Amino acid sequence: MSEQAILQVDELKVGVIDGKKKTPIVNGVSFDLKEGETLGIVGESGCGKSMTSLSLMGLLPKGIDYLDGHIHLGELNLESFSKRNWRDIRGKKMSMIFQEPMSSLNPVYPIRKQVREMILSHEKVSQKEADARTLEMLKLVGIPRPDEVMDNYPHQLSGGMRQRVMIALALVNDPQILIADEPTTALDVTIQAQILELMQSLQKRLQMSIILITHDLGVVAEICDRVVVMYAGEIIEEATTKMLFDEPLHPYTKGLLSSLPSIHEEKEYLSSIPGTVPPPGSIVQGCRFKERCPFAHDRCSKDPEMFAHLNGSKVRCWLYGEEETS
Amino acid sequence: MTTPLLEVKQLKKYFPQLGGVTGRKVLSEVKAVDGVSFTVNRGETLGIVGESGCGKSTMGRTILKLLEPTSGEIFFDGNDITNLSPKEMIKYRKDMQIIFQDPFASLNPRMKVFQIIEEPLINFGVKDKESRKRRVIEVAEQVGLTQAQLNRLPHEFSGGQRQRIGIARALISKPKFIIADEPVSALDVSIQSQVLNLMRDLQKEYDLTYLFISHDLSVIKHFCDRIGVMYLGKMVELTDKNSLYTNPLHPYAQSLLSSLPKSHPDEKKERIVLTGDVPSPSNPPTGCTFHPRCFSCMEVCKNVEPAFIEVEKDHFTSCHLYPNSAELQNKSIEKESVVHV
Repeated sequence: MSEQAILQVDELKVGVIDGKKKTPIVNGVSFDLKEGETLGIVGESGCGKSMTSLSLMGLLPKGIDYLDGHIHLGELNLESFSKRNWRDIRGKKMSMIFQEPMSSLNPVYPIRKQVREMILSHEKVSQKEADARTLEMLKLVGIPRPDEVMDNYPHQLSGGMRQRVMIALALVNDPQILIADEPTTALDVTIQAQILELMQSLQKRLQMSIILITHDLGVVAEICDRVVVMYAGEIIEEATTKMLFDEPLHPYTKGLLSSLPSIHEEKEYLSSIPGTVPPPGSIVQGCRFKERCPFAHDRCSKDPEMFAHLNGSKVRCWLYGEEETS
Repeated sequence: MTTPLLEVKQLKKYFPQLGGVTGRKVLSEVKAVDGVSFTVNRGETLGIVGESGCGKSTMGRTILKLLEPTSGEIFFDGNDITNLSPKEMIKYRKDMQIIFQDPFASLNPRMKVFQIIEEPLINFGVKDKESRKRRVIEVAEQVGLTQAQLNRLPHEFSGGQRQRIGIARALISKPKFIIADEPVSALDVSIQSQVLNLMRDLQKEYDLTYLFISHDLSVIKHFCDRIGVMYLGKMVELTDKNSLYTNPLHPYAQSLLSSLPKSHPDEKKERIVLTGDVPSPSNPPTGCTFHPRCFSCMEVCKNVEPAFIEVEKDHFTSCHLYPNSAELQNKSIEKESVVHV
C-alpha cells in the first residue's frame, strides 16, 4: 500500500435543491483514498453514506446536486463533470457495485451481452475478444461453469452468483477504484463470507482501492484498513480500523460499538443510544449528536471541528478539543 | 415437569407448484417446512436461525396457523390446534401473537396508531370502549409511545418506533406466546438494541415465551436461551445456546458460525467457507439435504436421510457423523484420555 492518495474528497456538500432552498444531505465531507487500501464508510440509514458514494460516481438522483466542495481524481475535478465526461470515467477508472444485484443487472439480456457492452463502451475490441475477456473475468470471480453462465439470464442465478457477476462487470475494465455500496447486505452470512473473501483476493491481484459503504461493523472489521464514521451527513470520526475498535473516540462511535450484541459476552441488556437520528434538513445548531449524547455540554451548541487525536484518529467532538488549544 | 407451552411434531408445509394446461396439475412441491419437531417451554426464548429460504418464517406462520399445515401436529398449552378452523382458532389467538419483520409493510397506513393497537381487542370481543382505551394507553406507555403519538399515522414514525407499534399490537391481548419473525433485522444497530431491550423487559413483565426467528447469529446468541438451526426446511441442530456456540455438531452449524464476521479486526478466525449455494427446496438433494455442500460428506449421506437424534444431553442434531449417543460418548472419552496423556 502506498501513501499516495488517488481520490481526494474536499469539503463536499451534496443536497436537495428545491427552488431557492438548499437542504444539504452530505454536509462538508472530506477524506482521502490511498492506493491499494480499503476505506470503509460506516453509518446508519439516512446518515448520507450512500449519497456520498453516489456523488463520487456522478450518479446523484434527480433533484439532488453538488452544492459545494471538490472531488479530485488525480488531475480531474469530478464535481464539475458533464454527462459525457462521467461516461468515460465510470466503469473505466471507477466502478461501483450495489446492494441488490438483481435490480442492477438488466433482466432481459444474458450475462455475456451485459459484460460485452461494458467492455465495448470503453475499448474498441472485437466481440470475440470481448467474450474471451468476459469468460476470463467470470472465472476470476469464481463462477462455476463460466461458459454456461455466460448465456444465462440474471434470474437464473442465485443472489451470491449475481453479486459475483456484478463484481466481474465492475472489474472487467480494470478500474483503479471500486466503490461497493453495501455489497453483502442482501446476502446470507455464508455467502457474505465468500464475497468478502473474493473482494479481498481480487484487490490484491488487481491492485485496486476499495471504498466500502456499509452499516455493518463486522464487515468493516473483516476487510477495511481505514474507516470514516458518518452521522447525520457529517464525518464524525476517521481512524484506522484497529484504532476504531480498540479506542473509539466519538460518543456515537462508542455507543454504536457497544450496542452490538457479541458472541463472546453474555449480558442481559445491550447498551443503546437513546433517541433517533435528526432528519436531514432539520436545523441543528452545533454538534448534531448532542441531543443523544451522554456527555453533552454547553460548548456543544457550537460546531465542533475535526480534532486530531494523539492516537492518530480524527474526531468531531469537543471532548477532544482541548488537546489542540492547551 | 409441566407440559411445554408449545409442542410441534413432524410439522410439514408443502406449497404445490401448479401448472399444466388447466393450471391445476401439481407439478412439484416446494418443501418449505419438512418434518420439524421441537418444544418450547414456558418462559423461555427459543431462537430459530437459518439462511433465507430455509423455511423459518413459513414455520412461524404455520405454527400460528396463518398458513394451513400440510401434516404434523401442533400442541399449544396441551391442546391440539392442528386442525382447528379459523373460527375455533380465535380463542387461541389471544394467547399467541406475532411480530413481523417489516415495520413498514405490517401496519395499515390509513389507520391511526391508536386504532392499530386497539383492533385486536375488538376482534377478541372486548366491548367496553373505555376499558379498551385504558388498555391501549397502558400498552403504548410500556413500549415507549406517548399518548400524543397515538393519534398519528404510521408514516410519521421511524422504523424503530413502528416496530414498537407492532409490539404493542401483539401485546394488547396479554398473550402467553409471541413469535417474533426477524423483529430487528430492518433496524439500525443503535435502534436494534433499544428494541431488543424492550422485548426483554416485556418478557419479564408479561411472563412471555418467545419464538425468535432471525438470520443474525449474534442477535440470536444475545437474546435466546435455546437455539434451533434450520437448513432447507429441516431442523439440523437444536440445543442451548452455549453448547451451540462452543460445540456445534452439525457441519452446517459449524460453517454458519465460522462465517460470522469478526467482532474485532485482530480476531483470528478459522473459516469454513462453504462452496455452492443453497439448493432449491422444490428439488432438494437426496439423503442428507446438506451433503452436496458438506465438507465431511460420506457415502451414506448421499442416500440415507439422517434422523434427528439426541447425541448429547439436550443436544439434538441430524447428521450421520453422530450415529448414536453411545458412540459419541466413547469418542469424547477417547478425546479426554488424549488430553490427559
